[in-house]
Amino acid sequence: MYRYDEFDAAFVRERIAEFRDQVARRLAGELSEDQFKPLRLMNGVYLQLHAYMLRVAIPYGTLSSRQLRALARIARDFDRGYGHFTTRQNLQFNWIRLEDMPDILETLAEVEMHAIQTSGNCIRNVTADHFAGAAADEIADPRPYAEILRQWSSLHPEFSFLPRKFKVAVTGSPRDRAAIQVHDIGLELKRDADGALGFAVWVGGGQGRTPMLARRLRDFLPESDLLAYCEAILRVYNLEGRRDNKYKARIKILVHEKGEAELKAAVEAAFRHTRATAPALPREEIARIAAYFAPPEFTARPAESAACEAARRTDAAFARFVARNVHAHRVPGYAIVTVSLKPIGGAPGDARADQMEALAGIAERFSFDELRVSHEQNLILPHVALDDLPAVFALLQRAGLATPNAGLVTDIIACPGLDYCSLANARSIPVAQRISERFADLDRQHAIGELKIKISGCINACGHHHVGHIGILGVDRKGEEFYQITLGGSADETCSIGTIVGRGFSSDEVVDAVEAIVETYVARRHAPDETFLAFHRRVGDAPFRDALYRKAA
Amino acid sequence: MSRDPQDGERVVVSANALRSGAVVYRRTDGDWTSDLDTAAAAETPAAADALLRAAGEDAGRGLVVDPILVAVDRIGDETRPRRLRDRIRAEGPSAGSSRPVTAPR
Amino acid sequence: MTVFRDGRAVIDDPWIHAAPDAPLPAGAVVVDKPRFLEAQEELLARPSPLGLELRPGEDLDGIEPALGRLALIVLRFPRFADGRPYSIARTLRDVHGFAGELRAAGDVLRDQLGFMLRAGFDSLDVQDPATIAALRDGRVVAVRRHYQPASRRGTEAVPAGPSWRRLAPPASIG
Repeated sequence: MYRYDEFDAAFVRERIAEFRDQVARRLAGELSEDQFKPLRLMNGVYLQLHAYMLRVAIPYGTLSSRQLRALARIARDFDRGYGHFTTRQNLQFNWIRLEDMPDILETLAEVEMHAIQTSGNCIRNVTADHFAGAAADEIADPRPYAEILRQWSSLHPEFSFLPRKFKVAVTGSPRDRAAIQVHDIGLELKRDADGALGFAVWVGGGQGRTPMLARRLRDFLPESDLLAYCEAILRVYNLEGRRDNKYKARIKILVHEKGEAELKAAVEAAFRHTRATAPALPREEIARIAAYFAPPEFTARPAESAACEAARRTDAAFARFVARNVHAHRVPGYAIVTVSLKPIGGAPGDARADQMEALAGIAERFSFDELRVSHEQNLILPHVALDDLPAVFALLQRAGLATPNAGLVTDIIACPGLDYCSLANARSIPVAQRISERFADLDRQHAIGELKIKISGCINACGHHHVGHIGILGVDRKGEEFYQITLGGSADETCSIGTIVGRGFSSDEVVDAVEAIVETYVARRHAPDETFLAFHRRVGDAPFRDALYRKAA
Repeated sequence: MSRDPQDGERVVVSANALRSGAVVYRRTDGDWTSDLDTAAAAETPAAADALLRAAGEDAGRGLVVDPILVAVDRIGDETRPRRLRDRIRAEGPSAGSSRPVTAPR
Repeated sequence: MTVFRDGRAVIDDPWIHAAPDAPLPAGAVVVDKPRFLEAQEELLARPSPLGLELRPGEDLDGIEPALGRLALIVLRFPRFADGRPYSIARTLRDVHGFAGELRAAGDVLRDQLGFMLRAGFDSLDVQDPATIAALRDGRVVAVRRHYQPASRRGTEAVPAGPSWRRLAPPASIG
């Protein structure tokens, strides 16, 4: 993973000193809240219902055990003993005091972390495939490019006061685990006919009030043009994005209102100039950064592990864990492990300090000291030897981190919702907890198969409900919490926005509604291996509407 | 929006303390407290305006951030917010990791 | 209002902003885009230097050919959060090679000065008293390390490492 050198470390220290000064001036009354707000947002500090919230940047979701231990320390020393992993691979602390902020940032800086640009109208955390560098289907590791984009976008003098936030995602595989089609810029790594690396460039995807899929502006952009082309896109957006209406200020609206062809023409015109002025990316420059992401020293191992197979035969819980939470690795004898942060009845994506510490130890011993955060709010151990899986499983069990539900109905994605967030209209965590408890039975979960439920507490869609197989949107109806259900969304390379199934449901009704939807699917699917998504794509909303809304006989 | 107090509702004014971010309420003596039961209440639109204005001045002086009016009911010695959002602000999250675990999982 | 350039307050800044619909005073005058387009040749034929002010949303169409003859361009920030002038500034410097004075005006505040100077502005028309005081006292310490080239003419070194790094000399902003 990327390691700071003296320059990087000094950059962060300078920015902390700058923010420390801004906080002091705010507390002394020299800065109004209006002047201070964008400054604190650019340092990841939100004001929420109960307290300030700090969103720590986890670049492209990659963490070392040392960093995870520092996050645990911050959770203990400055917060209430836990943190929340988000749908953009970051971590949130919910009980931060503004006056503690500079000290927290110093603690982060010591482990090469920060909270720069995790909020505000600027370029946010560049996210990437959480299986990067490990997946068998990868064309190339997307993370060097994500790191290059991260550096380039840091306190960019031209793009720090955009019309609205700007989100970039990169996938290194045609199997899109980074949800690139619902990002402002989505980048798909590919090779041309000569084997040279480049990107398909997608622009104008997004969720929120008006969900839209991105348009593919370029089929193949050579890697050397990556920064110049992104500068061109950002320049057009900065100049032409709407600033009169917060809900129409994302680039997706500009694409929609200007038209894809017109937008592309504007970007290409700007690109002719930025090509001359943006940093060039010759192979040597990319290789310099890519060297930080060189694969670990895998040992030669047989494709199958006798120890692992034996454990599967004798330990039903382990077998179940392997069936759901263990994924193929590109190196024989290794596997990728999903650590579910969705225990039955838990708050999705939360991890306690002691759990973070346990996981740091496991990663250090068994995953070459590396972890990932997925946009589905789970953690990943990317490089575990099959031989070590039984030991890893036992340690995860001890820490309460061995729930074998990756991708199943209880692996719910949920934003913090009205329990924490000042933007929310309804609570999401209790709905997730109740759904999780309703489907607690593991046999039932496995019988249902892959089913992604995503819950947002408001139209801002931080829970990514638009791309849930079942999406749940909390709204305020005459002062009561009310939940709209969408079906058939997907965040992968077959990206689709879910359709509203019909009238919404009260808090009391919503879990029954979800169960009725699931039961309809189970009863009517062609075969157990026809997934919920495939079934919905085949039959549409009608059978679900009948199940939900038909009058009792 | 149904989260704004309606005219004629009994209201208190709430904000976040600038330094700590904690939820606080303005008292009649002008201090800010986390104890909702001791918050100053207004029962007419004019009184509500005055309360909000005073809170705005405190915000201008850098004591608090984002003052808002909160509709409440008074039951005996206790003040209870009418709206769910304000109850969550007063009592803390209704669910999730900051609440003590009551049963092992 | 105080104009700052090269780290100092400018005494006797010569530029007068032309009042709309009033006859132009003698001397260095700044006109807005509509007036410039109406009377370009006359304005450029004046013996004294000519300046142009652009508001966000006004582009460079119709102005490009004359850029080399403008001594000053003023880009107005109606609100500091409206970042459009940064793109116009960089376009003027990097695409058009504008070599005259490029001035930021309007909601020009201390915490955006670093971005402004790196985007190509070389003078600042400041109205905010706290910002003026901080500049006069030399209290605005410039962050030195950056991950992109600047559009300012100047003095940022290219340190070792990735080619997009820049290192500014230790100094306060001005």
